[in-house]
Amino acid sequence: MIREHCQRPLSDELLTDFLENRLPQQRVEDVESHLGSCPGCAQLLEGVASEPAMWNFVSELSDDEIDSEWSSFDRSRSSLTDSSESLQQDSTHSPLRAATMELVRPLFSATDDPHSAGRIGNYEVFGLIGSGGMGVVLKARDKSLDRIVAIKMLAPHLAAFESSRQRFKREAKSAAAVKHEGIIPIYGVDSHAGVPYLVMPYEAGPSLAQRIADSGRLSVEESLNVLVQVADSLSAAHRSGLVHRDIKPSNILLAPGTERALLTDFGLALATEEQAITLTGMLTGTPLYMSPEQARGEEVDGRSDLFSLGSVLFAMLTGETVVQPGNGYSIVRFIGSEPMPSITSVDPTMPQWLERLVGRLHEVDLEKRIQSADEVSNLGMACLAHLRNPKQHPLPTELVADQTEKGNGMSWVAVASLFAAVACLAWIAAMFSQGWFATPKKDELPNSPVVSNQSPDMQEFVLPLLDDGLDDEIEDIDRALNEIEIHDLDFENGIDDEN
Amino acid sequence: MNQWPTTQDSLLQNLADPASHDAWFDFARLYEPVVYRFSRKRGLQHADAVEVTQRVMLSVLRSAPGWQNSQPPNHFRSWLKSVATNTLINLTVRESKHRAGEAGRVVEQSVDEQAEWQTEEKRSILREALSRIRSEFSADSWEAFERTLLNRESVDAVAADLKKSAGAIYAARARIMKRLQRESKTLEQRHD
Repeated sequence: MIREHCQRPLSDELLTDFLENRLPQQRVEDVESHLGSCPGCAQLLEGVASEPAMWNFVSELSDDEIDSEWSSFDRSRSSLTDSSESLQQDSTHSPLRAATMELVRPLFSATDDPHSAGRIGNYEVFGLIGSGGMGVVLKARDKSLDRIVAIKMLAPHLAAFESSRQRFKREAKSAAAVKHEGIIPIYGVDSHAGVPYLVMPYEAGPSLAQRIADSGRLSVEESLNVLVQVADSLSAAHRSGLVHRDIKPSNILLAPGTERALLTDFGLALATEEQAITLTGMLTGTPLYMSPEQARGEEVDGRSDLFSLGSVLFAMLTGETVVQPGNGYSIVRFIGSEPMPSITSVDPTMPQWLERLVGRLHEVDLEKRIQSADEVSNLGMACLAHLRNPKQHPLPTELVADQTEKGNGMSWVAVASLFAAVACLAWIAAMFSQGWFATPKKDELPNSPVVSNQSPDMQEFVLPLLDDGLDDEIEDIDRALNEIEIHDLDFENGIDDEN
Repeated sequence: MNQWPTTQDSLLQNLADPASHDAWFDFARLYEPVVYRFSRKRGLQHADAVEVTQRVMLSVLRSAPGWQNSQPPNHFRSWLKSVATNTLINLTVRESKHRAGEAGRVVEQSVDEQAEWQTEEKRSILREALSRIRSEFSADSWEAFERTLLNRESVDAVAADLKKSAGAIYAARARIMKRLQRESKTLEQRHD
């Protein structure tokens, strides 16, 4: 076929030997020299090396646009995994955060307030509180009511997607449906330049995740204090038929110290009777706090939140996540298929009763798990009372010893006393090892200044994307919100009035 | 099809074992781009394609533990393809209620689905195989291969740049191709 320039084409055997490096050096040089001057034989060599279809296929393997978009998603996914949930790294400087802010900034309207970065509706924006894969949370002043609010704005590139809008809508509905002092309410829902946003009270305190990342684990008393408060909030949500589904340290905001723990982000919350379960975003972060039934994709009830709360308690007590951060899929597989690690495996001085409390929340078997948030709250309070005054308040009996365990000659009372003694010693040791009396550091939220930057291009880009019924949805939410009376909470203590 | 041998390997059994994180990591690295690209080629936007990808991986994840005690699906890769197609259709049908027209068009497209899936699968396998064999070759050989084949520069120009003979360039890239063919066969066989 293509041997026109060649009187003596090289044989397949010779070319195979050549490719396999089985020829003496002199022959190698001869063949190379011949290949360089004979396109026919060069083509023969290609045929010996691999099928022609393969050569064609390989020549198409360079990165195309779709590859680049996938790689950039893949990278942002790992940076999200590393920073927001692992409790190890400072998320305030993540490139993702900066990039997300860049996306939102051009949307602000011009303002005449020199301290403001720009305007969103009736709000003057003057800071960035945080950001994640879904969007940004901005600090702003409500001009008409003269109060500081937090504005949670969907990332513009997500505003076009039904699943993202659904999540926003759900968050507004869910948070509005449960009125509880431990749950951050939603003041309202609106959209600006076509991008939907939620308005919430501004809380100055760091999230539990930031607190652990910055100052390490919490004391036993602080941990129990947070546990009880979150359990109370969950109890209110569960009574309203709502499962939060995303209980994790970054969704728990702390007001000074651990005096107040506020539950936020009902973006994944679903009423228990709702059947349509979306997995959106589940693996964009790391599902470190997911329950086994969630990981299996089953329908979940309030007990799933209690499992997650167990993982939060584990993180508070040890400063570590119960599952090692890593590939999201491996984590989903791990949860429920392997025994959950105990707090004593991280810190052997942890009291046994505390280990049992975490264990009761981490029961893979739903029927053996603590059944209600109220029960968690009661147990937590009993433990707190015991910590503060062990003589007057004995430990709750169910945490003293495993009652299904068969006695081996010792009476139950003896076993219980032994456990109590061990627990007491362990607790004393834990007190000293943790710097019990140290005052927890008060952490400020990152508060980067934002520069106004108007870009009509951006608005042109975003507006058409939303012209498909979103406004109707927003109206629905507004109607729903108007029907529900939202009590303003006293946020005076939480408001950072430096501005 | 004869280029997809049906040899059963321990890979599926490894996927079923919750402790073998590496098997999952390898599997996801190979197949996430396949599902993502397949979805994009069928007209989905980035976020929707990501959603399909995650759902497909979760389906495998949830089915895998069952393969420890019983047989994994016959012809795993065609099973995977049908999971991907079903997921994609479910998502577009649900979305089309909200985005009439656009999403519907995605489902209506009559394309050679089987061929598209296999193209993406082969692409991902070859890219993975390339990254696995790269360290076996000298930097010059690899550059010769990439520039003349992937970037389509002329053999003579690259030869001059690298101060080699044109024949040496032909030789270097043919050796890489031969090795690539073997490595990609191994990868294919592990996944069926």
